Amino acid sequence: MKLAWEKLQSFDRRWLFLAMGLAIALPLMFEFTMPFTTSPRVRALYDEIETLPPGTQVLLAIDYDPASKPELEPFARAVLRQLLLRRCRVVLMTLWDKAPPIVMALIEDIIEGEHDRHRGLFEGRDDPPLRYGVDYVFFGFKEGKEIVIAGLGQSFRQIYPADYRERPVGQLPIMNGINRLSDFPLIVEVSAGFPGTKEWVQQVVTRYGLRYAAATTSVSVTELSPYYPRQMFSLVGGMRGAAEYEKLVGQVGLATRGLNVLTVGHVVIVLAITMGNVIYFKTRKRKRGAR
Amino acid sequence: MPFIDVLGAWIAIFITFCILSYLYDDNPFYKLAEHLFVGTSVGYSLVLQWFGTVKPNLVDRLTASELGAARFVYLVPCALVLCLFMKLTNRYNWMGRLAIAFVIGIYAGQNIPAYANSDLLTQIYVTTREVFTSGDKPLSDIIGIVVLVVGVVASLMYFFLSREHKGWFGRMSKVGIWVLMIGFGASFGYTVQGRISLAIGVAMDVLDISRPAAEARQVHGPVVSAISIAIIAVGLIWMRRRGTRTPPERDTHPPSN
Repeated sequence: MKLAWEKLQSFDRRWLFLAMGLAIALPLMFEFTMPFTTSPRVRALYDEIETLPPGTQVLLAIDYDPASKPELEPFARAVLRQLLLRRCRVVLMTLWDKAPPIVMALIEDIIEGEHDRHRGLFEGRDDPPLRYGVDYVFFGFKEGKEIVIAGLGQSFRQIYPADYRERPVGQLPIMNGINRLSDFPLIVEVSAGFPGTKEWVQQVVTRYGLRYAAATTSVSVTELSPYYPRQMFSLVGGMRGAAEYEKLVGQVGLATRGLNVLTVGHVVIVLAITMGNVIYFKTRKRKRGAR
Repeated sequence: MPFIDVLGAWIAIFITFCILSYLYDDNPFYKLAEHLFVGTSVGYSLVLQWFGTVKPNLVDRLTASELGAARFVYLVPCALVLCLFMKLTNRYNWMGRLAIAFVIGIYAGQNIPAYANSDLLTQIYVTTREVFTSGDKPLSDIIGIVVLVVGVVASLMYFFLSREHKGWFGRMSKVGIWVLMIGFGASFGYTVQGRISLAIGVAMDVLDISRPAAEARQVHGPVVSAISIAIIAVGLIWMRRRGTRTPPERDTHPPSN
């Protein structure tokens, strides 16, 4: 027994990596579902969008790169679907240089693939295909981080004189009546870090009292929680928050499927932490006894 | 799905396992993937910065004859950029400080008031308003407010170092430590959740779960994954055997006494 504890203390951590790999891969192969509830933090955004009248211009800032896709993309897809179901007009932009291909894929999959072809949640609806520049627009990437955010608060058109396709902003009907951020009835940001939610809140949300909601990676949730609910009325955190949003929108997606696996992964981590502590205290007790 | 995209998906799966092979040990497969990642990232960013920032904001404006003499004002940022590159020289590296001072000044002027407004004044206002607002509040809200106020005060007392942490002050600062530890615990929990989520995303990609069914039928992710793991495993075994057969390098350093 004495030797066993000693051996466990020098346990090769690669076995733990293997256990975690299996804990993720196996539940994905054998699909199962676990119940979960939606939190007020997430429901606030869903309820807000449900009250928006058709034609409302909503700014959707996609500030993440491929590294954070698993956590944030399911939410981005779910919220875009809901906005289109409510017939809102969507203005897309990004402050991350690696995000434009992600936004183009969103447009291709959700707007052109699902909405315009009446697939998925849009099945059975008689909505005409959405027109670029009228129903949706993408303004592309802009370098400058928080300076750009502050500039958008003063003049959107000065920061973005043209869209991603080099069309002047004056020729885009979707931008009628929009001169600065405060002209948007709702701003939704999907953020993986810097520049992201913190900079939006600091530079423009607090200053201009904007109606602002954010979806962030799990790592950022504790840091951003003090802003909820006064400076941002909704905070969707990580894959769990995205799964809640998918549930509200009514389409089981990758986040819902991933959430079940997440639970198994957490069990492995908790077991590893417990085991590590037990080994530590057992060996410490014996060392003290030996003295 | 065109074949070039299928090939791209195969390469992505192989490179994913190359990166994951680092969990076993540092090896040439990992190095290959790491160098590819750094190279493509730098290349992508350079092209994007040139066509998205430098060209439209500097080159196009300097060459726009319709702006007249006003366009020459853009020589100022151009000079600051050149000053930054002077950091690479020994003789003129002091010029880089001019550009850095400009950047720091802009950022400080932009961020300090914004930070003070949103993270200090507004947070104090919101916290005190929660405490002093009258009206019917559920018990859970009242408990929350008490925890909030005690937690904030105790945490601040922990960082107050001008007085010895003894007596009631010491007890309060201990409460502060507990509050901080609970905060760190919550952060750790969320971090674990985030990292596992990323691993799930990778697993979904390599197992074709995140792809539409039509694409998955072309890519055959699980098969490609198995082949990738086999290639890397065989490669690692081969390299290890080769490594053991290679005689150790002769130590050219003189023995130290």
